Amino acid sequence: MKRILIERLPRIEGNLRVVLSETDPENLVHLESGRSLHTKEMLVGKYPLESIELTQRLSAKSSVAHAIASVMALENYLQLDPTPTALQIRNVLIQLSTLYSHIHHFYWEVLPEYLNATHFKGNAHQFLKYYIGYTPLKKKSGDLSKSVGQKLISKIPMAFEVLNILQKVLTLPTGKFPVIMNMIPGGLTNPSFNRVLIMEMVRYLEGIKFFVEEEWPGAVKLLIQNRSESVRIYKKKVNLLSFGSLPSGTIKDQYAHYSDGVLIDGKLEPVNELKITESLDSTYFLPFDKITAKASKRFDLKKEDARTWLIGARYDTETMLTGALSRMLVTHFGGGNLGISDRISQMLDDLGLTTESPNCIATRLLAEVFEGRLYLKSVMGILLDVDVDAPLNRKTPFDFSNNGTGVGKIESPGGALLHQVYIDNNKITQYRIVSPVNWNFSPSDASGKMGIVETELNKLLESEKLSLERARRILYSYNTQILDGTH
Amino acid sequence: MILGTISIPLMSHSLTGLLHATSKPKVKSIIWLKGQSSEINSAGIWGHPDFIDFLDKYFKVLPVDQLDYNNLPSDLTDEGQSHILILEGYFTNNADDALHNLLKDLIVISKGVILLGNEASYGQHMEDGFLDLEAGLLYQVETPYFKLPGVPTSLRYLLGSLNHMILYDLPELDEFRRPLMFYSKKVCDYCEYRGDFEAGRYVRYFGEKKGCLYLLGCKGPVTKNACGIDKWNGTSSWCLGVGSPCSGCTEPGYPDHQGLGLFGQLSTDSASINSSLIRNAGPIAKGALAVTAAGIGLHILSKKTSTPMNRKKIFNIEDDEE
Repeated sequence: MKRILIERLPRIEGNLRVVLSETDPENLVHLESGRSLHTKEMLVGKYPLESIELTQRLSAKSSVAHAIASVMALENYLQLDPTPTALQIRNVLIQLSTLYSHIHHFYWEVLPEYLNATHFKGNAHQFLKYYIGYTPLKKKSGDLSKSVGQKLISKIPMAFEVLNILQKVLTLPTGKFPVIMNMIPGGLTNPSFNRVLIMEMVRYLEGIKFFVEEEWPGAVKLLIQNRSESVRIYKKKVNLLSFGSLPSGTIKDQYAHYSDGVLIDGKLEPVNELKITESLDSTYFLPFDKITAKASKRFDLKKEDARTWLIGARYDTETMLTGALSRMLVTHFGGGNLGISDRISQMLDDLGLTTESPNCIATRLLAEVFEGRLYLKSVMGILLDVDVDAPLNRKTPFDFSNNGTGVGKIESPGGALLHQVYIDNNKITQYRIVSPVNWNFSPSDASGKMGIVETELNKLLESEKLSLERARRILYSYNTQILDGTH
Repeated sequence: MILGTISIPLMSHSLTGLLHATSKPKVKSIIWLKGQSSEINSAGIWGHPDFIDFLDKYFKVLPVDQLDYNNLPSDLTDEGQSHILILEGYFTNNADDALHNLLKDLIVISKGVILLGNEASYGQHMEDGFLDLEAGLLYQVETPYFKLPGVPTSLRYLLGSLNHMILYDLPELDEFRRPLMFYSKKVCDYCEYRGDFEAGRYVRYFGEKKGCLYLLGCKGPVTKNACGIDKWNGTSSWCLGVGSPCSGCTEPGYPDHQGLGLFGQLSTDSASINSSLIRNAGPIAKGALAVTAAGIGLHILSKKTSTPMNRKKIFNIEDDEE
């Protein structure tokens, strides 16, 4: 017997359902995803370069990350390094798309959960149009006060304009957005990069500085100050994963902000991708040894105990937290960028939290804000530094005839994203994607280990009657693209 | 009404002007339903600020986050066929899926359906378990529909289509049910490198130089889309401008393109020059023949299944006011 608590979260990519299993001896809350699009299966048999475009269709907010992870996997297979200038531009693209994703996350996914009809009274015509298909409900528990809510929604037009500008800046070098078109192994397709294009990007970005540095951080702080439960920790110690920043492309390495690493039980170690596994328990997917030639499909809709298409990612059998907060903390523990280390320590101190138990709504949102400011500064630095006359690619043909594999790892807006491609005779023979959703929203595995979000919801259930508003706020506070995890 | 090849910005401007000149258009309802979708198609909303003002002025977008999945909203059933249904993403054929039954009911009572993006437009390539919206539902009802394919779709096409529907009627469609005003000319026709194509000045490998990308597998010669005029997100940038061959994202054959794939069959020889469409002229010719045959078939089928569509006005501002 199961009871559906939340049918779907309408403002995320893909479907997510929250279900209470009443037949379960412990009355557990589970997450159930929508159907897989079978993107990985669709890639099998295709020419390897096609993965760059086709995997981007998985997410509007992580499309750039998918493009770069995919092309990195191909470069790893080809043993081909991108040019330094291409690396610089890739850094610009991933950082701007992350900034875009974070701003969208706060204003269009998180904030509406704290609003109600009273906030829009008298100004609905002015502000409600920015939330297409959304109608505020009556006042509910945990909403913002009228004055605070109205103050925050008064900035929505500005946030909209900022996203508009970021789309333009991301489109200029890439051809279009959200699906970008200029990635190839060894660099970028652009036949030329000129100073005019660079300065057009800089000019646009000058126009969003005030919002990114002042308005948005102020809005997040205001929300946190007014909702004390946002600093509540549901699970005290979490394991952390970060793939670190992309190589910067410059000798001085000034733009490499984040360290890579895995923090398990307080011990930090370098990432070893061979330890990343995927649990198919609870999913409709079949283990490889159960896929027969007769029934070649990788899934079975009648599989016993299957309830979701979300594959659970594990590092050395452990569940992990990934995302902006995680990469800041890994950098802190790894002794990397001191600016980040100081900032995260200060942030946790201000909230009365520690680096040992840091994961809550407030820290997740503040980490995104801090990262956004850092990235904007970084992008401006790169754009003014880039050598427009240097080569953007290796001008070399690609040989995909050999049997081999390649891995691409990147920190996408939502966290660690891994692509692994298997190639033989100019065709993809297998493709693997492990996305942030596979980590954070992982279903429980055979040993009963739950992912970070399922654990939080069950702790909420233990401590009080499960408030649906509170559950929704927890779910939305993760920068989530469910479709990314079902592939 | 065929607006032909006039520029998209110009057309949008003139349609908006006409709309402003129209006295008191009645506000219509839109239901924008998203199935399994990454929202790459609706992300364009943030790239077109005029779109939300337009929606706000002439439409009421019904809240989908509070839909009762077991019962149709009473204001819809009361109003009768007055709303436009926009479908984005894939929809499952699982009867347990909350959207499934609701979707069928909504289609029946809609004035018109817009299939936004390739997933909704060409979903027939999906695994079992997904609805083929066209064959599974839309062929079986009288509700008119059309497609706005692309990866992603330009939101300006949706803006233009809705604009056209208010002012005139359903736009005129091609054999794949795409509005002719956006999908009548080939990418090659608008391309800044058309002269290079004619002169045989081809780019031989990625990033080599500016020029025609025909040899890198560009699908511009067989792809109908106005992106070469409209460009993307209010900039002057587009795929070919950044050195990326057209991937034919608005065509029903995307991404397979009759076995050619996005880049043709790229060579493993000394340079990707050998990957050209030229080397695959045979398969292309067969593919084009198959597409033509399929197009004719679909055209005949579309006439059979929805005769009233091209001629019947789905709504008329003056009629509504009466």
